[in-house]
Amino acid sequence: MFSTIEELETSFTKAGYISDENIATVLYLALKLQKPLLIEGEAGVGKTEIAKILAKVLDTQLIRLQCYEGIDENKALYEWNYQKQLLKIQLGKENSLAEKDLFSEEYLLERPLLKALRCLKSPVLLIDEIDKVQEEFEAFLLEVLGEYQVTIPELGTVTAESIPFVILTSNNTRGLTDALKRRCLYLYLDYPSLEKELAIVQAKLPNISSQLAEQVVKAVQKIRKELKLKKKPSIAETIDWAETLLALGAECLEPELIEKTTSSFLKFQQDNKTLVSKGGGTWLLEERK
Amino acid sequence: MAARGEEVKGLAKNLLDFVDFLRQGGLKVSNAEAIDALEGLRQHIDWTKKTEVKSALCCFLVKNPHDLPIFHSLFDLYFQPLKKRQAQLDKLQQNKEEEDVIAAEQSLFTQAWALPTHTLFVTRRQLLPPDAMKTYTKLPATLKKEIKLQLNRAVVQGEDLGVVSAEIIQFLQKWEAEQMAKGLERPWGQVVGDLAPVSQNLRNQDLGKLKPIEIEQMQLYIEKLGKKLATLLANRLKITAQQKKINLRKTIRKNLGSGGVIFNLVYQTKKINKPKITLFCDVSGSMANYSLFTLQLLYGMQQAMEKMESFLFGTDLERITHYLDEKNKDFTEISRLIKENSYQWRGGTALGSSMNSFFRRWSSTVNDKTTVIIISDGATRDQEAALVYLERLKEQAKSLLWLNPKPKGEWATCASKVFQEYFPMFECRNVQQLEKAVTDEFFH
Repeated sequence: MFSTIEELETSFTKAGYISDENIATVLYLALKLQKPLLIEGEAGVGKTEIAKILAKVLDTQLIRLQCYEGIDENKALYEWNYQKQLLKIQLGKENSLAEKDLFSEEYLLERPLLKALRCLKSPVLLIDEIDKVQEEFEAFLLEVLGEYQVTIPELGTVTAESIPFVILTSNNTRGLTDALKRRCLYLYLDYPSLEKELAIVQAKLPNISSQLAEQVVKAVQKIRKELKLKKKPSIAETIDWAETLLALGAECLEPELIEKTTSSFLKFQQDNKTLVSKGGGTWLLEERK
Repeated sequence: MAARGEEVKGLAKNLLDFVDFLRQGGLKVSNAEAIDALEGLRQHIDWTKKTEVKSALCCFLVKNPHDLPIFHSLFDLYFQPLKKRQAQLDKLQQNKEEEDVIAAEQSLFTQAWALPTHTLFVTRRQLLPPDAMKTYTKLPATLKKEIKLQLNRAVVQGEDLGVVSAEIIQFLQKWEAEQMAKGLERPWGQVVGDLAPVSQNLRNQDLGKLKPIEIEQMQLYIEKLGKKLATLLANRLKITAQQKKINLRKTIRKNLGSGGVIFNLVYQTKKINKPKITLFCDVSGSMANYSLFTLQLLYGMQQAMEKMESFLFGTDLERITHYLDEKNKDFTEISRLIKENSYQWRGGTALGSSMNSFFRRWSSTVNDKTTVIIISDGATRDQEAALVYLERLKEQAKSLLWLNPKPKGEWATCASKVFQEYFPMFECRNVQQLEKAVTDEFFH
C-alpha cells in the first residue's frame, strides 16, 4: 500500500496512466479510508482505466461488474445453478437426496459482488456504468457496500474476507441517488489539459513523433473548445486518431489527411458536417491568433 | 500531543465554518460528509499543502459536476487571509446591492411604461432616496406592488407627492428595522451564491432573463437534461422480470427441449403506453424564451414519448410538429427555422382565436390519451373565448396542464387568475421547476 500521495501518483505514471495531484489525492483517500470511489465524467476520459491500473499497481485481482438496464441481484451477487440442481434431482431419484446437498457450494454460482467479498486479498471491484441501473438495484448495492456482507438464506451470512477497493463509474446519463453519493468519495474527470493529453498520447504511443502528437492534440482540443458537437472526442478517440495516423505512416497533419480520418474522432454524421462547415482540416490546422 | 489536539480542534472549527459557507452558497453538504472530510483531513492529508486540502475537501463535500465551479470559487474565497477575505466579501456585497438597485430601477421603468401614468416615474428619484430604494429592492413582490399602486394612485389623483413619499419612506424604514430584528439579513455566503455565473447556477436562473451567452449555455444544459430525463423515464417504463408473473404458455414452450422439465422461466411483460403530448407554446413578447426552453426539453425527451404535437400561438396558431419530426437534430437549428418562419414571434396574444384555429384544423390530434400542455402567462385579449375553448379541449384530452413562468405569488393578481381556477397550473420560471413539472406531472 502507498504511504504518500506522491508515491501513488508515481506508481500510476509507471503503470502508464498519466494522473495528476487531484486524482492521486482522491484515490489515496479512498484507499486509506476504505471508502467506495464514484468517478463521473464523459465517455472515454479514463474512468475505467483508473480501476484497471489500480489493480495493476496493487498487484491484485480486478473484478468487474458491468451494469446495464435491468440488472438484478442474481446477475450481480449470486445465483443457484438450477440446471445442475435439476440434473442432480433426476439422477438421484432412486437414492435419497437431502435438500442441503442441493444448496451447497457445488451449486452456487458466484457473481462479481460475492466473488469480491470472498477474495482473500482485497481485490479492486469495478462497478462500471452504475447510471444504467434502476434505483432498486442502487439501493441493493448500498446495502452490500455499506456492510460488506451479504446473507444467502441457504448458506448463511458471508462477510468480506478483506474489504475490496470499490470504484464506481458513471457517464452521468442520469442522476444517482443522494444516499449512494453520500457514501462515496467523488471524482469528476474532465477532458485533460493540452499538456496532460500530449503526455498521455506520448505515453500510449511511444513511436509517435512529437510534431504529429502535438498537432493531433491541439486539433482535438480546438474541436472540443470551439465546435458544438453531439459528442466531443474523448482521450480514447485522440489516441485512436493518432494510432490511425501512425498506421498510415503520417509524419505530420495535412488537411486532406484529416478529412480522410475524421471518422476516428467524430462518431456522428452531424458532427462531421459541423466540422466541414467550419472549414474542415484547413480550419483545424489554423493556429489561433 | 496537546498542541496536536488544539490543532485538530482548530481544523474542525474551520471545516465546519467552511461547510456552512458552502451551504450558504447553495451546495448540499450533509453532516456525515463533513465528518468524513474531517476524518480524512485529520489522518491522511498534509494541511500545509493547499492543493491537497482542496482536492480532499472537494471529493468529500461535492457530489455533482455542476457544483464544482461554485466549490472552487468558494474555496479560493474562504481560504485566504482574513482581512483580504472580508474586503472581497464586502466588495461582492456592494456590487450585488448596486446590481439589485439597477435591476429594480429597470423593472420599475418597464412596468411604468406600460401604465397610462408612466410619467409618475419621472419623479421617482425625488420620491425615493437611494437608501429607501435599497430597502425597496428587498421587499417581497406583494409589498412592492402595493407601493407602486399607492404611488400610481397619488399621481392620478393629484395628491401631495411629498406626503406620500414620506409615508413610504417611513414604512420602508420600519420594515428594514423589523427584518434586522428578525435577523433576516442576507447571509454573505448567499451573496456569493447569487453572483455565481449562469454555468454555475443554471438550475435556478430565470429563463426569461438570460443574456445571449447564458442562453447558449442554458441550451447545452437543457439538451443534456433532456437526455437524462429520457433515460430515467425509459427505465421507469421498462418492465422486467421484477413483475414476477410467470407466462406459463411461453415457459412450457421454452422448456420443451428439456422434456418439460422447467429450466428457464419466462416472465410476463406488461405493455406500458408512453405519454402522448400536445404542446401549446405562447411566443408573444416575454414568453418566447420560456416556451423555447420547454420545447427543447421535451424535444430532448422524445424517446420517452409516443408522439408530440407542437403548436405556437400568438395572435393565431401555427403547427410546428414537422420541424421537430427529425430526431437527434441540433435544436439550435430547429429553433432558428421556427423563428424565421413564424409570424407569431414576439407579437400579441389571442389564445381564444388561436384555439379556434386549432378546433377548425387540428382537433383530431387530441384524444383521451393525450396530455395537453399550455405554456403561457395567461395574458390574452380574449380571455372568455379562450376559457370556453380550453374547457372543450380539457374534456377531449386525458388532462390539461398549464405551465406558468410568472411567480406563483402573483397568479392571484394577474391574468393567470381565471385560468388557475379551471386548470392545474405549475410554476416554470427556471429549469428546476420545469424539470419537476415534467417528471412529476407529465409522466406521472
